[in-house]
Amino acid sequence: MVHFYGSSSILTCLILLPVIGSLMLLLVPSAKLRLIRWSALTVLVGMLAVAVAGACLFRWDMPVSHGVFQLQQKFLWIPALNMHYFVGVDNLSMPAVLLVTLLAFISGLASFGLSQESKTYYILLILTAGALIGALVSLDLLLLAVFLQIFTLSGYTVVSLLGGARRHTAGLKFNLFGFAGTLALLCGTLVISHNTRGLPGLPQGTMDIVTLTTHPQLLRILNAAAGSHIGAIVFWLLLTGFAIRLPGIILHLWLPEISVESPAPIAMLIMAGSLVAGGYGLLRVVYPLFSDQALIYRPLICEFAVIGVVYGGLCALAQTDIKRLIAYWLLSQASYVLLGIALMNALSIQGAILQLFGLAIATPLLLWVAHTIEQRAHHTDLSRLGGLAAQLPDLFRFSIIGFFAAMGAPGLSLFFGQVLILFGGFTAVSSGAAGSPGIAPWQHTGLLVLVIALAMAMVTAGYILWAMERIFMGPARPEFNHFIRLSFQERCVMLLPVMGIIALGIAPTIVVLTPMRPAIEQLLRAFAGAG
Amino acid sequence: MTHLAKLLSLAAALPLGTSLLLFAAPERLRRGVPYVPLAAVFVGLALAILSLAYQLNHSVASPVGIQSISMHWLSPIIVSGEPHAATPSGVEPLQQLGRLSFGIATDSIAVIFFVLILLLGVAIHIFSMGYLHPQRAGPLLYSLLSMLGFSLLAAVISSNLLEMIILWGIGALCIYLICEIATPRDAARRLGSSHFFLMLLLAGLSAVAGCAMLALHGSFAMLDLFNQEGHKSLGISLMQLVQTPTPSGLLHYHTHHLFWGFDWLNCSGLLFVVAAAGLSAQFPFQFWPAESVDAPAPFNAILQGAMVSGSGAFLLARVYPVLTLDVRLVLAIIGCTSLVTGLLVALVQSDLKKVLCWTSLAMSGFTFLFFGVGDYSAALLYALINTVAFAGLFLCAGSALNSTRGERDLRRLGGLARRIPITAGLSLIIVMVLTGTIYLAGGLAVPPGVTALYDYASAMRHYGWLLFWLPVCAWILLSVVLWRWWWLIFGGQTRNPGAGDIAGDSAKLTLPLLVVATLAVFISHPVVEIKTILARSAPEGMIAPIPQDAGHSIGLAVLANVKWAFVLGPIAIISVYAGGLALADKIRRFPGVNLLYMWLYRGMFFRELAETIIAGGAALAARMTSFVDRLLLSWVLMIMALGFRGIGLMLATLDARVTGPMTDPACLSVGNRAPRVLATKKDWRRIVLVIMLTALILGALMLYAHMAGW
Repeated sequence: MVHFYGSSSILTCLILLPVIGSLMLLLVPSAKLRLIRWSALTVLVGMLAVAVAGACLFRWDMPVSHGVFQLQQKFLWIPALNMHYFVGVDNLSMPAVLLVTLLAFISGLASFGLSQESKTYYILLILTAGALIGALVSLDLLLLAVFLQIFTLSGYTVVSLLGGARRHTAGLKFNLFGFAGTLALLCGTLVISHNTRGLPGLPQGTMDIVTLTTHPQLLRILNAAAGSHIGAIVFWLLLTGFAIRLPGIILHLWLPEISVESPAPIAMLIMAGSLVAGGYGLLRVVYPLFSDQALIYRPLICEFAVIGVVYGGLCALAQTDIKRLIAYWLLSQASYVLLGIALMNALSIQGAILQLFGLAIATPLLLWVAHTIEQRAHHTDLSRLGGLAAQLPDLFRFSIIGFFAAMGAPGLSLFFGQVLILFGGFTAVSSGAAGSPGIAPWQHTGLLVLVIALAMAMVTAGYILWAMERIFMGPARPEFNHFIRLSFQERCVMLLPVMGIIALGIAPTIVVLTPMRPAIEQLLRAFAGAG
Repeated sequence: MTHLAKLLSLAAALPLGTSLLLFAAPERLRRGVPYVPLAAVFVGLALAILSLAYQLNHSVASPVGIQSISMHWLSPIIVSGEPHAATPSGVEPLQQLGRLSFGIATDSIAVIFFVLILLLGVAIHIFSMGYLHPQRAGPLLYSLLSMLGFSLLAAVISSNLLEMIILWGIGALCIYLICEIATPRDAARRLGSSHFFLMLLLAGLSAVAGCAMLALHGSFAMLDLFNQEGHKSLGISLMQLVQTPTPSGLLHYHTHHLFWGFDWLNCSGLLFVVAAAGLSAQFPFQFWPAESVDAPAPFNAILQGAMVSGSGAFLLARVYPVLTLDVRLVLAIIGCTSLVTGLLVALVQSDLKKVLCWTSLAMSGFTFLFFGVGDYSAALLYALINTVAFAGLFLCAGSALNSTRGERDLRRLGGLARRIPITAGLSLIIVMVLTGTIYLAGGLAVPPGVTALYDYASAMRHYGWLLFWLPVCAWILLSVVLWRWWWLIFGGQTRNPGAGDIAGDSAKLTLPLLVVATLAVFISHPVVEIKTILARSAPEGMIAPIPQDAGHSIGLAVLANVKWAFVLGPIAIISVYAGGLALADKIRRFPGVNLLYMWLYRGMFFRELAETIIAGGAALAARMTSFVDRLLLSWVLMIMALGFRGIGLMLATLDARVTGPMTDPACLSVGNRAPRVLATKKDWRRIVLVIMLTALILGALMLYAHMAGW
């Protein structure tokens, strides 16, 4: 039974606002760059304001028994496909929407004065942000896939048109991987729809996330299917679809190119936004729907995640370019998110959510630091930098927070996420999978996996310190004496993530976990029935 | 919140506030900046002394144990609900993780360390004001210094182990940045500060893993490790956990093995020992303190005093109840090895700071050793004295460097007692305290834990006697090392006559030294009764059971006369160095000795070994992974491109067969070029290949589906 509390069109407004804004920007003459710039920022501020208004309307303390999705709107869109326009938010997606609108605003602000600044650029930036928000509020699997594909296409277009020297390669890779992800998601969705066809009240099957996660009969069918190969295939298809966004190892090949070749604000939005979408998809769709399969494959996925942590960390250690280093750092850290979700217990899930939000807020800061250096030095080669602490003291102060957050320093955004994931891991290893028939014990390999994950914190600290020393420490170079201090706009772009990093580091419970409590409980309830 | 907790939290919050204020200040601001954190430390010190008086007063009236308050704004919101929460024993893991929260826990040890940190903080702040070049001492540096002070203060009053580790982590970051900012920049120094930061991180990670293991089976909150009635017995929860009615049951704890014969309590204890060894630079992590010698002297004083001597010992004191007999033996061996190797290396160093670095880590070996053999109060007393004394000696070294314009080579120093007599006198007092000079050193005249050491070693089989004889020899060696250091700097004639003008003592440099030297004398003296307070707080029943009939006469005779060891140091040094460096050089060049000298001079190649194994291994792995990444990238793309091209060709050919010949798209743009049929013989061969491959893949899939019973 689906409950409708506070049916509202505010989420539709949030999705339509970027579309309308883009259409209006089309009407502005290309020569009037100042007007375009401010109009675009107005649209992004409007999106942020609508998201905040949505958060105000949202009842954060709604009891789980009343249904967790609010501000819903639903109508049949394409009858032939049984596709609904169905949007709504819960305690998991509402904070994610707020985060993405904030990221979009930061990206818009960061775009001021960029050499690629143009009408096309702003239109694509707004559309990318809008598509991301659409994906986060979609409660229909097909709609979710559509929004993710729009996100991929708009991101591809802006990178291919306005990126660096190897923009075509970067755009193509992003598009290919994004498309593969969407395809996997579509295939999984169609199989789910087919398997639920013919049930009472569902002659055409369903792709509705709310129905799928709350209807006990459907869950039983899906779980029964999970025992067969079809269930496993669908689970892996959906997992792959979202792991590409996260990204997971092997599925990450688009990431370094995007980091290096995209305009910095676009890279900030694509990398952080894609991460949020991937993590959200795993928590919203894959794990609640296929908790049995998830439990069966838990060791495998955890090992896969830890390989990602090691692989990303070692690749980052070998980089000499700041932006590539950030990309591999993100791969390594995003693998912790996957590890936390895959461990499937209360602590690790909370850790994964904290890590997801922490990464989404730290990545833009690091990319922006790299961009400000590139703007002045015209390169991001670590071997040709050094001594910037003396020449750019303000940048150094912001960077201290960014780099220390990146290495998971205590008191900053990533620390508690990683600690909770590891503690959750120790819990999982301690309890194993005892009592679950057909599930192999995981004590020994699990312990090894966790020790490796813990030890990788040393490697992360090593390459982050190495990068920081190469950029800021050492003797001041005379060729950098002409560097201008940070502008007001540059400081503003840095200040917002810095505030987020500190807030997440000091009060993670207040900022993230308490508002999300009903969603986490719902998720744990789904896990509790597994096995 | 109790009065004590209020006072201490306020005293700890003051440096935090100062730090945030200075972090926001513009970097060009210089004038008056150092006075802001100094004022905060002074106020904090006043509050801490009030707390100490309160604690001592209270502890005389009734034995006060640990008191704890917690704030749960940091804890995870849900700690149960795991799908498979129950362990085979039926205990829900992490049931006490609600205690993962920030809070304050106060007891005698916490208050004593708190006051000590603030006293040293005052001394180091004043010294820094006179020592650091104003160009390098901006608001950011003082902000970090204040943050470091906050993290150390908050760590000693933290209510659980994880909180303590987090705060030390913040402290490690601060000290890393302080060294980076305040040190003249060159490429060689870069590696040093990273090394010591990574070592502190390793210690932190090890401790986090130890906490996780403790949390799986119980709790890492101070209240659960030490119960409400003080440290007189172990926490009730801990004893319940291992199902033993007495603390000695915990000492001999053995249950089902995790790996290599270790159970969870031993594993957890070993992880904490690794953490403490990393923090205190004990064997095999001895290389990192010497890496920080390029940092300014006040920061060396913090690093050697607060980190090497204090933090490792404090961690061990806090986890002491969970250390089993096996773990304590490891602790004793680590301490003994560090003690001997550290002093041997210190004996041949020619850098005045490196001598102190190696000596301080060697002296921390005594702390480890005494913890290992079960003399809790002696270990803590050593930790306190080392913290103060080595902070003082590093400040003396700074004063000497200041007067000689940065000359660090002992072979080029000498005769400074005439130029900076106050510094020379105060450093001599500290050296005499450390070497156990009778009457001056008070409680240290006989090494306090040596009796327990003797009993422990006597009870051990095989090579157990080494645990007594090596420390006794080291006690004599210590005297030689410290007297050598003092004599080569301050005694005799100057060996660098061309040094030109030499600065004398200044008030800003000597006043802190006076404070630290006085503290060093009083802290070890029986009048102050610190040892009594520490002994009262020791956990009961935690001393290893010793057989009474063990022992032999030579050992007892040595034990009776070990208090005269301090005489041997000055005699040996004056006889070698009275005539300058000639005799020492002659000994050094002796065949065989020269090789030993080189080995010791290079710090037994600990650093090179660590670099080769850890850094080299990581670099190699990184290169290989990066290579695979590139290879993987190109291969995936190539396969994808080939696949799409194959499909495209196939479709185009089929299309051409159905609708007629297809023209090259390029012709459309050029216009006049002759159309070309796509499907040549070569194309056909390729298409057939693609079709065969596709059929093969599909066939394999169908075969698999058939075998899998789809």
